[in-house]
Amino acid sequence: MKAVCWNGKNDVRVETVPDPKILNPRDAIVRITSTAICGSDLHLYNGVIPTLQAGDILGHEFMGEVVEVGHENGLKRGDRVVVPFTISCGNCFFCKKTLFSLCDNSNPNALLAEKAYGQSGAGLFGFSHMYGGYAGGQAEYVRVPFADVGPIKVPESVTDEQVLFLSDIFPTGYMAAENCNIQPDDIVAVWGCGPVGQFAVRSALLLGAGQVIAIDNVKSRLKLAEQGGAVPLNYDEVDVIDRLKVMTGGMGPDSCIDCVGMESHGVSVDAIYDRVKQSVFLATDRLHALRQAIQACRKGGVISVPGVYGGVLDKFNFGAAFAKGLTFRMGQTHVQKYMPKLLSLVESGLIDPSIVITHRMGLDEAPEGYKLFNEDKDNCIKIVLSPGVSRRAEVRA
Amino acid sequence: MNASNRQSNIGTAERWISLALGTEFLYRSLKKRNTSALPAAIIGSGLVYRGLMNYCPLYSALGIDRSSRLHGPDAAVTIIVAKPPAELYRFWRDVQNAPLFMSHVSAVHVLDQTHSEWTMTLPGGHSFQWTAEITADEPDSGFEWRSAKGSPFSVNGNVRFKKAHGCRGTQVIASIRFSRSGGGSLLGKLATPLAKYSVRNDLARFKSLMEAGEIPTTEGQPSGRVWADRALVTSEVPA
Repeated sequence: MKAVCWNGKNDVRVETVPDPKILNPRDAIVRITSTAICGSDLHLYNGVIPTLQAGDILGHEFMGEVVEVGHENGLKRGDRVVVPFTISCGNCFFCKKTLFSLCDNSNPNALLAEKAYGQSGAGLFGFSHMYGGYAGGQAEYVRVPFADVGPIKVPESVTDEQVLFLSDIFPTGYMAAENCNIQPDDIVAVWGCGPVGQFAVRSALLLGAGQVIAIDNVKSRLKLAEQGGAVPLNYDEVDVIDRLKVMTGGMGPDSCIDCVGMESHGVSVDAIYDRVKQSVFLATDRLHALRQAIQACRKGGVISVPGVYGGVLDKFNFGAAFAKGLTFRMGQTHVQKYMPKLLSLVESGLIDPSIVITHRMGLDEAPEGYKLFNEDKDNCIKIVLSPGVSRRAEVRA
Repeated sequence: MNASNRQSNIGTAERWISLALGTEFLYRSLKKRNTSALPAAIIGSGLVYRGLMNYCPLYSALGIDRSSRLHGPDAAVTIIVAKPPAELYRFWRDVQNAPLFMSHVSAVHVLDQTHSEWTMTLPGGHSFQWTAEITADEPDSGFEWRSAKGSPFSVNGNVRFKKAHGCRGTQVIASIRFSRSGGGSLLGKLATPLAKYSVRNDLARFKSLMEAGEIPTTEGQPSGRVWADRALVTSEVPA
């Protein structure tokens, strides 16, 4: 089959590799119909995430058709499914509490993660060997472990593009908003208007926020956030903290969502410092966004962090967080927990996740897609790849 | 904290040096028998105290622990498994199940009630056999074992299954110890940390098998590593 393989820094290639096969009883094999490039894939692309090996197949946002199952597990050949990026057993202490991204039993390299973090979270598709080293879904086929817990069946009445993002970014934005414990009339500020930020904005409004303020410096992203109901704030044009104070009568937003993250999976302070400088898909100092959120948030408010952090934070204004009695909510998304609810939102027409798509390409064009997304060209927000389709990049009108 | 609760926090060599130095200080200050020797007497008693008690209050205050307890020969590791103790005991006690979750065990052949022959395969493909003997057995809560006479090394261990608090299932505690006589103390010192890592790994595999019904793996999945040398290119490794 064809698959997008990482070969080194800024070097991904579409290669012919063996087809995946069933390795464990609860596995399924899925033929991919649509897959996407995630902002976090860019960090793999840039080689800043440790424990990636040349030849690893990338991709953690994908959907398709079940072609083979290990044993009787509720799925059958021909089922159309969206697969969550978190791999979860469904039986452990954490899965039973619906904390699926903290599953105890899905990372074969848990000891590697334990060394860095004390305990290991769930295995993830296409996201380095510390997270299990699972082959990803930017390919024609993928092996899905614990297929009886993860994949959700989707009806033919919705298109791939409408449901593909149930695999990661829509639940991620939704959980970020849910973590804010939004009360009627709350003001929610969102840092970063990439795909996760877009879904955080829309989810916060769905959950009853009175006002959502979206912060970025990319005009097309701010415009999309505005279309989703947010008040845009361009940090190139205004002083963010000052402006937020004016907008909230000096109180500050009730909750602040950091959709920027920094995703530097190093563990030493200097490594993190270097990687902070290496910010790529939002041209800003990444920890800066979190510091700013802490500084801006109202007393007793919530800081919700869907953006991924990897190591030890430098110059973290914890004193401000303490003095203001802030609450922090964060972590990888418990995708399985949110999929059914969000699918019903899509089916009811309350939200159309395909709005974030700016580019559609064939799987063959993945290397160009990574380059384009990484260099932040062509107003790129989200790229969807279709195996079996070979066509030139097309910009959404 | 009273003395009986205090855990040792200094190493063996340091303990003897502390005792020797303290005795020397005390001896000299007592010989002088005047107030100028008082500081030496205080320091001396302190050193003798920490040597005798195997405990240093200053280390304790600073949070330092230099005792070998942390990296000593006994490699006990523990994990919580969300199943009742009896069920886990039964699975583990049926030693023929060992190859299912112990990564270096390729086969177990039961000889009688307490003896079994184990075939181990080490990384690199080297394999060898040894005979295990169960020396104590307490149904539903654990058992002890050791290598029988004629094995290539002398090793013993135990596994215990304790009910974890609340509804969390069972706390499994496994330990393994290479003895000083058989295989030599150097081998024991080298083998134990490796064994500890291996036991830790196997406990995680046991937990997955019991809770999820299978052990997570990626062995046999596709990748672009068709040429062996390409595997040498990796992203940064954790510090």
